[in-house]
Amino acid sequence: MSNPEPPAVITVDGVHKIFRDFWGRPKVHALNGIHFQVRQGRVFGLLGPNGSGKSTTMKLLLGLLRPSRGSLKILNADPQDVGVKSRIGYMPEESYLYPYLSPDETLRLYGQLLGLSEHENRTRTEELLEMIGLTHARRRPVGEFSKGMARRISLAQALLNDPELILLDEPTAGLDPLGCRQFKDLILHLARRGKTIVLCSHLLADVEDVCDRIAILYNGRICADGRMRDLLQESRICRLSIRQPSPALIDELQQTIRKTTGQEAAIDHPSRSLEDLFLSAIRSAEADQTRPSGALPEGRLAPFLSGPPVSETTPPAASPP
Amino acid sequence: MEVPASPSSALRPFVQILTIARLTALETLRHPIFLLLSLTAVACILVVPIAIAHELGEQGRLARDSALAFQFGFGVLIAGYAAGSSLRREIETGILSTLLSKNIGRELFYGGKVVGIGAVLALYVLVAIPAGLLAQRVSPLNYEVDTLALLIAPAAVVLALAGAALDNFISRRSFASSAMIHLVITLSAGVLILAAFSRDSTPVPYGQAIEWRLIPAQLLIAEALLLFGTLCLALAVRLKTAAVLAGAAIFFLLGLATDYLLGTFPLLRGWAPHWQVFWQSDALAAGGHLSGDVIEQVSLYAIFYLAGLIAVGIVLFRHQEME
Ligand SMILES: Nc1ncnc2c1ncn2[C@@H]1O[C@H](COP(=O)(O)OP(=O)(O)O)[C@@H](O)[C@H]1O
Ligand SMILES: [Mg+2]
Repeated sequence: MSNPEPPAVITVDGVHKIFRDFWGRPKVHALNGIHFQVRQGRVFGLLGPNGSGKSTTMKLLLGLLRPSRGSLKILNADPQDVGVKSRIGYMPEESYLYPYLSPDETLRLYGQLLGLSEHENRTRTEELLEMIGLTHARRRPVGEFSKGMARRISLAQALLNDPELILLDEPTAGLDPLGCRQFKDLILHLARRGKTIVLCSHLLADVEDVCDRIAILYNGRICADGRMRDLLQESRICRLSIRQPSPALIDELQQTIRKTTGQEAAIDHPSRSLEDLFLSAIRSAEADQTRPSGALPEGRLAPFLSGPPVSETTPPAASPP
Repeated sequence: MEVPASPSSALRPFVQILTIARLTALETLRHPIFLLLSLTAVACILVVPIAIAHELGEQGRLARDSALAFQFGFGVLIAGYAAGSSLRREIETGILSTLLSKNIGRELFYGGKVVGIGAVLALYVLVAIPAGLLAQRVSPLNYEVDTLALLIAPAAVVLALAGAALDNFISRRSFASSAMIHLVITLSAGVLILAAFSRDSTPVPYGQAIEWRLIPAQLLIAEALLLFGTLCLALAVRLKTAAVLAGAAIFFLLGLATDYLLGTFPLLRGWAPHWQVFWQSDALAAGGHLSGDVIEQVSLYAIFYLAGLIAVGIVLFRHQEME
């Protein structure tokens, strides 16, 4: 516990957001004074039902909206500061793209905006297209793409500048289970390299698999936050797993437990998650398939994203806030 | 981690403006509605003077006026559509959130949009100008028809579309944008061929057979369109596309009525553009030419107005929330 805390990358302090109509009259009170901090190298999950203010928070962090009250700091700068954006990647909730541009053109254009050199832009675009499994569709207009394919481009776009802070708004919406899995692996990988990631979602499984800290937002207020492990652990219950136990052994254990604690132990068989089942089915089908027209399940990590871990000293979830 | 700076970071703002401009122009040009409006404009410019040639007196004048009027009318629709779709719709769909989450300032972004819409309008004007020149030849003069022109004008349009189809088949380039480029080439080629032949298809000294004096008037209309496009863009920061067109129409009518309003509201005179100054068809009557002075003054006027409209647009856009 003597680890020094990594510095805060995001500080949100008493932020309110009121949406107004054309005439400036208040319409929706979307955020009601939220406070939170995200420290460097963490994977932070912002959870909440639809309309609870997750996307609004993201947009405030990016300076796309202005807070009605309160203050935000991102990478030690004001969200309106244009310079700081070169260190941030953002994947919006709606992956709307220019429908008549191809994935290739789309990524190159974003690369130009980010100020990547021509060479850098070309190699990163290649590598990212490979990573999201859309190399074969690189010349088709993205207007023809399925939602999940557009989502993948949106993800690639957010990683083009190899950002140190990544904001992801409902990242797995519209992705197939394989895409979800790859996506979660990618997040874990990026976190290992010391990136800070903020992820908002109403899909609890996604958050559970990757986040080390969460805040739960409801109706514009934060109603729970802290370390995922602390929030989830039922520390008073203990579970024992044994491979292929004989009925006699079970019986014996039951009796011992009953005798020493006076309690009845619960016995069941753990089941595979549907996700695991789906993934193993796809993997075995992959062998004898021709190329599908949609996204390919290759998903090799883009080389420019796979450098060595950046900050060994601050592994995710090292210490409580 | 650190983003490799591009070789010359002093050029960075220009690269960003051009990137946004290119994006805007590409998206607008590839949308079929742009080609549709341009083709309709060409058709009207070419066909209307033939259809009503026998109705009115000075026939050259009719072809001139209709060429300028249709160039303006369809240009207004294109400007309004391009501005509305490339700014308002992008704010509503959230694509601007992605773009503005990159390190580009809003001023540069808006500047890029203006340049992009300017480029789209420029391409449209490059189609409308040769179409207007062809119209002078296509329309009958003293009940005599120009057979060569009647062959070349429609052939130019058909060739352009065929070329674009071939281009799309071979290189998969967007049909709509390719057709626009082909139209510029084939219509201009048509003018250049006709420049060598008189109305009865006999060779004349090169260039004599085309009314080049129409071009300055067409360019003034182009300036008006650019103003209109910038006006629409500024309105599109806050209004939906339909409202943009309505707002621009009100502004336009106000501009037409400035002379009338002058006595009653002197202030308004300074605010609404005097659209009449861009309409110089009268100067071309009876073989006249547009004087350099007029062109210079009108262009200066357009530049000042343009600067003002861009400034207003930037101020509005800076404070606009990306909802
Ligand atoms: N542009 C807007 N205008 C008005 N209300 C909005 C706007 N954007 C979001 N809201 C409202 O703010 C609340 C929070 O929205 P949002 O942050 O998008 O929720 P979510 O948690 O689902 O991402 C919702 O009630 C929504 O209707
Ligand atoms: Mg949302």
